[in-house]
Amino acid sequence: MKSQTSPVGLSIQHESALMHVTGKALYVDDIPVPRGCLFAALGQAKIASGFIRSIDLTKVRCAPGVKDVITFDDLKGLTDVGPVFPGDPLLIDKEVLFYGQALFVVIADTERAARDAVALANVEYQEKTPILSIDEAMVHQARVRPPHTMSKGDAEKAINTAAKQLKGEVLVGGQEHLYLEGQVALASPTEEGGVHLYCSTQHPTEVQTLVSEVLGIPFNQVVVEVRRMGGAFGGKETQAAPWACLASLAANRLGRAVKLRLPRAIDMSVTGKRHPFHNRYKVGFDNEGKVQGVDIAINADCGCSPDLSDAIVDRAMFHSDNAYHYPNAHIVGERWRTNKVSNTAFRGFGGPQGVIVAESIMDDIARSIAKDPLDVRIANLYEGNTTHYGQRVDGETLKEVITTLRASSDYDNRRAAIAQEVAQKPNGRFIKGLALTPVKFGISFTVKHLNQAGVLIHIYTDGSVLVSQAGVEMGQGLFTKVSQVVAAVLGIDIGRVKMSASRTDKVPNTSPTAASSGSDLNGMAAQNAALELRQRLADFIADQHGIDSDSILFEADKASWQGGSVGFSDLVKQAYLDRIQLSATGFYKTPKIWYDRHSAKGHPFLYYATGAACTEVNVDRVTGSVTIERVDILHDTGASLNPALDIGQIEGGFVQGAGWLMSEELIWDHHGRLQTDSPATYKIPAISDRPKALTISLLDRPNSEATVFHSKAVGEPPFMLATSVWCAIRDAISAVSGYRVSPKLEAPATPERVLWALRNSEERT
Amino acid sequence: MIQYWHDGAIEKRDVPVASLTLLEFLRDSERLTGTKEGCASGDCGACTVLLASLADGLLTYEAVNSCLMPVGDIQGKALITIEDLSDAQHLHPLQQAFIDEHASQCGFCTPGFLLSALALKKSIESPSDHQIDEALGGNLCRCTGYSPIVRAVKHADCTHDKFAVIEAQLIRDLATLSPPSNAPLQQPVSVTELCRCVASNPDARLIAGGTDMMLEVTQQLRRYDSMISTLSVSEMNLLEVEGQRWSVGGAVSLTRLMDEAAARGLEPLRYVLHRFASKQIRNRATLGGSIANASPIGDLAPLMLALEADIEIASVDTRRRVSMSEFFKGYKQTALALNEVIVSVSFTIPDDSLVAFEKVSKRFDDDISAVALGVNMRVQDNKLDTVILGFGGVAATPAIALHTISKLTGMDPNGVSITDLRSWLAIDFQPLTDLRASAAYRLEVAANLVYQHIIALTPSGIKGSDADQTANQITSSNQPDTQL
Repeated sequence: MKSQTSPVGLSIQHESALMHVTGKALYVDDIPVPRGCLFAALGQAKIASGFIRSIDLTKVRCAPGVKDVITFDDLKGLTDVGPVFPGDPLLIDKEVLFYGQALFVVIADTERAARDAVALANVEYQEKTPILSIDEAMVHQARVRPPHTMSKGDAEKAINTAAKQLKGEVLVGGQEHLYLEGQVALASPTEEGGVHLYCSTQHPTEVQTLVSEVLGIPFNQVVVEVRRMGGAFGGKETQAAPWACLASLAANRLGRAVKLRLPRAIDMSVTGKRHPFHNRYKVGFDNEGKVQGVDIAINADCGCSPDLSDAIVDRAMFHSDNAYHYPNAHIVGERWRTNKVSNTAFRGFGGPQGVIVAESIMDDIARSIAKDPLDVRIANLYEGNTTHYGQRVDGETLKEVITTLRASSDYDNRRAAIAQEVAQKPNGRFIKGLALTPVKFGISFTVKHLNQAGVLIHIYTDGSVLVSQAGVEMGQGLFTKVSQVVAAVLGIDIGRVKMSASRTDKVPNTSPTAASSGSDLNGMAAQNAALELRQRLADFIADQHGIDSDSILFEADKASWQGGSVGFSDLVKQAYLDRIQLSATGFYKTPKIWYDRHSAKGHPFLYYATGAACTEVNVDRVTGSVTIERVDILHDTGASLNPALDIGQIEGGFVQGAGWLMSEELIWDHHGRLQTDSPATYKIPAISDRPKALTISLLDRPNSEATVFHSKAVGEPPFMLATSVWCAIRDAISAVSGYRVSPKLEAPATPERVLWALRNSEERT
Repeated sequence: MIQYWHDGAIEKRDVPVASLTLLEFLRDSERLTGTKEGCASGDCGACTVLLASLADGLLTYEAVNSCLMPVGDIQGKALITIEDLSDAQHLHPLQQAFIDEHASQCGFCTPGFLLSALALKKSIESPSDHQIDEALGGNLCRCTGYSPIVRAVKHADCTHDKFAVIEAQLIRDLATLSPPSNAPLQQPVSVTELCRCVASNPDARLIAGGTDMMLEVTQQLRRYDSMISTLSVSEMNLLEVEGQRWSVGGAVSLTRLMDEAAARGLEPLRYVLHRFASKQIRNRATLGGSIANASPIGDLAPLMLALEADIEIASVDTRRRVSMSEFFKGYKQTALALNEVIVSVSFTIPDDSLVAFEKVSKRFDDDISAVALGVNMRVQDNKLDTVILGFGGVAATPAIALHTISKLTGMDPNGVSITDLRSWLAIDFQPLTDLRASAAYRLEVAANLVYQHIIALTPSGIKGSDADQTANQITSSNQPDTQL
């Protein structure tokens, strides 16, 4: 029951905002270290592929302040920390898989002493030629996992018998997370050989289990605690664990606290990124641009190990339709192995690299039949059809979002104005591009068992409430939303609710905070726990006053019924004296979802989050530089739990996506060494890169599925709104050919790539 | 021993090692962990703190990257960190505005943004969007997309904040701070003293703003027990403009130079400095340091080459002048001897030439050039009679396009073709392909940009092109038709 004074749906400030602005928010590196704490530093391999011929650490061990050095031979328990499949050795045994891979760890009195000592190692290698691209991996048939196929109907026949055919390819680069807070873990030994860990991780339970297995102790001996992270974006889902394991191992050996913090350049060289993809497609369509069949090859550069690549490539395949119905489809996903750091989760989890294929197809079709790309998009939208994996999409929200945004962004007039400008000044220095693209993003982990969460709520006798839950706070506002849910259910002032750090000893066996699922899962679990507590309090009042418990209203910080009321604090005190249990757990598992990987069919998503963006860019034909002039977004967050936080996710996700597609370029040299290993060389959007004009509206419509207060997930979907930036750039480039050529444009669309695409378009005209 | 003002008190501390950074000092020694380390290379701004100092009785607030600053440089200054903005009862107006506008998500960048914003609001009460971008271009946020931060900075009214209240007291306190004693960071005050210091301490590292040099400390883990700073040398802090002649002391900060350029309407110089790194870096970096550093992609050098600047160099007993075109000897090599320092850089703004600066990079804010171009060109009697093109990013040093210049000089600008420019520039330069751009792109863009400026000199203005060039940020906010 949502009460009138409910904080749900209000734009309540982030629960840590006050701590953020005063500098009091503690991140792991800010927590005062225990007495005698030591500091660790990584020794890294200096080749990308080959073997360790010899390793001499004598000088390292003798360096000032050094207390211990750990190599592979010192690992007594689990040595491979691969999260799903093996392939991620904690330290190199003999074979080197990528440049910068962890080879040894030095523990010293200070971080500086440890880092100084690392430089004294003498390592000899037997180097092999590394595989550094998808093309090379194809030649060597090097895969981290077998391919997977999804199909519907007879794609080949549909393509061949269609009125028109096209083929194309999309190359998209990877993306460094560049969370502002780097990877860090602080491990303290506990009695009986256990470990307490402060760790910046999206997946406390996985850190707990891996640390336990590395140390060879039961899970109940390890506690992982996460109060907040300085950003994560997927980069701390699996890849926070190795550093926690190494810090714990050192703490366990030395009986002292050990902190392992990765300096930025080391962090960037030793942690995985968004996967680069090289996707190809063949499409058959009718004279109106309606797709008859597609054949799509999804090729991901997974780096050196499986990590989460199976699920990531699956999600790229699931989303290679984006919002469009393919009556016939054949989609193959390949997981290629290269000698690069193992690529991992990043906001969208393969989705963006799938969505961009669909949008590329729509643009290419539109150019080939001289239609407005938006009309081709609309012609292909789902209308109650099923996807290539068998889930039905009603398509009505998609159509509504696009139609509404088309009008509110004044798309057609602006399209006409640009066309006129292009016609009047065919050789102008600047050329504008416009694109309106939708997003349809499936919500739920595609690994079914992860779709569960637990919450533990305590009510103390002063009426204050402490909530522990499975999810972790990385800036997205999960804690704020969960506290809103709890306050709403109990009908109390939100100021009574404090969010505890997420701890594996409070809520066990948790899923990662990922897949946009944080609020959906934890919010529901919290709602269930709060409902349980509210029922106990209602039953207590009903007993005392001889009334029906259903007639009691919890709102405005009190419980009220016909003829009486009691303030929440008093109620809690009385309930305690009457020996009512004031602590409850809540649990939630997502209903309805399933996916049979064997038949590649199912209903993997509880629902879809949808939205659309209309972006106008300005392209400089002299340099290839691009600016984002105006962006209009309409996004469906269901009945938003917190509009301000949701808009924050949309805005931040869009700019992060624009960075991926414009300026964020990862470059490895031919030795396999990452050259862009610092924010000096790897350029995420800065303040001047934000759109010059940006309007964000929420489609305020309750989710038809029974999610928490009928809200929708919002973490990842808006990232893909930035596809409109890439399409708008292609639109501008296409203008120089009179919109006849659909330009090939690799992402990120750096000034250089844009300039060459312009040249190419001019030459083909 | 250093003396500085912090949180209402005058503090004294011993500095063990000259190269200890202010960030390490704050986090490790002082346990002030509100200041964050994001990159330790001056590229993210999470470590931003404010320094207030007195100059001619006026208090100025400057945001700096504490990760690149030797702690000894806070001597005599007031230090303001995130912990100082609020007191027990009140949040600072900027803090409240950040909360109200939902301007923090993960919060890790927030302290740095607040301090950059505070420095801005102390110099401009109601900054425009453009001024906000310029002041915050050195602070990265990975969560918000920046708009809420811009709104917060706009909305906060800081005119009567805590620092306005204590300003008079702060000025009095600062005046009482004594010079350093036995500091491992030596701070000579005259050129003679500086040169003697350099000559007699061969192991000491010479440092100006340290924004590049300190990367040796934070990234390559070097350690300097003793350093000599140029920043306190009074002669090197002179900035004199007489008519069209500029003489800029080697220790003049890029911010000060930029302010002067803006005040005098010297747009190309203002623009190159706007595009030069970030506000925090410009507050520390110096013209002398930038030139002496001899980076092949240094943005100032191409403009200085185009303006035919000359450099005054001093050693213990001699002074000499070297022209910019003679200064760079090879990759990171200059005409400076080991015992020499740059006292000043001088240049004359030509009366009737087009002077311009162009920079192309992947990102507008705080990025290193793929190509930088300084232009100095004049047309007389339909002929190009002055052509000087200084480039960065296309050779091992900043360099003049000698061959191209020789071809262009005397030509009718209407007769210049872009194809010719490409072939001439390819004789001048054989650029590298690296992470910023390919060799081919560098040459292509170099030719395109030169061409844009040449056609701007034609009587018809810009032939067959778009006269409205203001929209583009990435290449040039200075108009190619800026006539000086």
